[in-house]
Amino acid sequence: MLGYLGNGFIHLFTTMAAPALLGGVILGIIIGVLPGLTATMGIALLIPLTYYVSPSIGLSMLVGIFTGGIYGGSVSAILLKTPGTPAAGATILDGNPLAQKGQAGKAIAIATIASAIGGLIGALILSLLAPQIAKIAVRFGPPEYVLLGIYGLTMISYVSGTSLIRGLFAGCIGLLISTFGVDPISSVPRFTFGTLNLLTGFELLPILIGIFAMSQAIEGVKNSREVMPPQAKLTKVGISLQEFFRILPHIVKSAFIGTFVGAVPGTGTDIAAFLSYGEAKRSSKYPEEFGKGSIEGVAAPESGNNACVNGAMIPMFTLGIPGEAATAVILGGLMVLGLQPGPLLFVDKPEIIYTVFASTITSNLFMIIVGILGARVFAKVLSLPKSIIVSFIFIFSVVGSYSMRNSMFDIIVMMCSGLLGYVFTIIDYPIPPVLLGVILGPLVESNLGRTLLVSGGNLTIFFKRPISIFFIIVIVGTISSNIYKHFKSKDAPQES
Amino acid sequence: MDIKHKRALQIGINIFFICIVICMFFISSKYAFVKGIHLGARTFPVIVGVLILLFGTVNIIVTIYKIKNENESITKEEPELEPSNSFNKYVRKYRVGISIGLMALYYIFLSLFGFVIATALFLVSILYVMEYRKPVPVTLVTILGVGLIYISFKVLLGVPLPTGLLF
Repeated sequence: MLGYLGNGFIHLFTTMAAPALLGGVILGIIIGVLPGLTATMGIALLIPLTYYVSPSIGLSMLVGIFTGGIYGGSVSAILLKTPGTPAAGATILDGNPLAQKGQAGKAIAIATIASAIGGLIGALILSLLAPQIAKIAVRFGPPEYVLLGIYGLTMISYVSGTSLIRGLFAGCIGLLISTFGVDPISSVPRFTFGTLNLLTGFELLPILIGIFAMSQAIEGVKNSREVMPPQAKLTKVGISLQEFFRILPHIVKSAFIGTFVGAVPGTGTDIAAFLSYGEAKRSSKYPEEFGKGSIEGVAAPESGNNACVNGAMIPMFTLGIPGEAATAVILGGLMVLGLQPGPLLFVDKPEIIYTVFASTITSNLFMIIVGILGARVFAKVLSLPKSIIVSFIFIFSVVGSYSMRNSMFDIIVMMCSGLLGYVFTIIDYPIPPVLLGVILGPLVESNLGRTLLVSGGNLTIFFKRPISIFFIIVIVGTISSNIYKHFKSKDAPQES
Repeated sequence: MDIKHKRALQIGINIFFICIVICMFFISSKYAFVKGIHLGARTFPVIVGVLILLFGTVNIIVTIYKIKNENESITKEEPELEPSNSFNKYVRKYRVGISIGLMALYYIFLSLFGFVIATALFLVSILYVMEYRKPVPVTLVTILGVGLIYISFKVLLGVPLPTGLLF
């Protein structure tokens, strides 16, 4: 295997595959930075270009766009509180407060380093352990998905701020939003009010852009007369060695979480990012800093979502199953290039597969160079007058929500979500739980329905499967530790 | 926002979602609940709705309890230099509401005039609301901003931008 991987690197650097990979990373970052343009869209837009080159060059470019696109979303999330991609939803929570403190350069540097290391770990796991992980991933049935979703929902307790009840209320509103559209089991159109726009439910991206970006823009209008402090404008790009070692364990842990979540079909980078964020907050020595500009809060979701990119390629290459939208598009690209994904691809075309694996590793190295060099340019956005930044957040919110599926309805969804986000901000209700509900609601509901069908209505199925039991233990552990922490904090002497 | 209005809004938002849930219960009555081993289309919304009712009610009670127990601390805002013109005074006072109204107008204009004209008009208006009013910078920002977005999305990446009935 290592020999094949070595040949993959040789092939990558002796053909035009390496420049194509670098070009893909740069283009991916640009696409990711622009709100509304997702990595999936970038890959779909550029697949036609791959017709004219060899499969390894074409695939390297697509890998570069995927990696760069997921990372690029964090830049606009940090600087403008506008997530470039859904994967950057969790990065906003601490990335933007860090930028507000005048440490935009540091926030971007952390996001870049964490994305690169997380992606690198994910790529190494993909290259060395793909078939073994795929064997576990295919054992995920409906009960495991339900429990994965419920585990994700327990993260509400970590992103609820001071009041858990408010967080749960917000999470339920997210779940309520996720019930619109065709029922996943009976296919009954639910709460569609006769409009075709609601048949597939609400799209995630307009909601995400609305509750984070649009609400921020309205807040920006309210505070438009405030002068931005000079130190908030441009800062040094980089982190100290001490900070690096503080975030490193979280990066590594999130990389494993992200890779595993990615390897499970039907999940995605957004779920990986939120799970990584929640786990980082749970295990951090400084949980009180989360939500206020914690460096671990930036590093964990970025490591998780970039590792997820590589995890998502595991079922695609080994089983021919696309784990999520972007890999489905890449899968289409593979077929267009005359390759049939699945176990035989490793036997028939090892040179192509291992060149792609070498590309996934190298793309993270390219990303760190491009990211760090570009950070100073990105951070210059903050030197613009506040009113200009705010007005462009409004416009990018509209363009971003429209461009996903060319729908004016999505603009209305974004505006309503923006108003909800703004109201929640001024009344001190947490916004992230809403997102968790919207993301995880369909996963839990559809798989709960399937679980009941396959088990004949017998819920003991959850206790008969090893992976299910593992998740039950993790969920019970998480809830118990939260209850313990809650009571412990009540017993602690209150600060005056 | 002072604490009194904040608490009122907190209660209001909970009541708003409780009302939505009650409407949802009525609307979803035509869908099946649990039928044997089939999780009907109504089950999940009802579970979520009940939870919203529960948490919403707790939130309202907690908020009312807080109102009764807290002494309002009024933070005096620093006096701002008032604009000479009464229209501008009005714009400054209601800038948040006006910006929300402008967004609604922006949507209507997008549907009528398309991206370029609607965005240019919106940019000029929102910059005015935020008191960025020097004619030359506003014109430059508008032309460059609309042009850059149009070129990068529509021309370079081939991503469609909203089109109106007229353009």
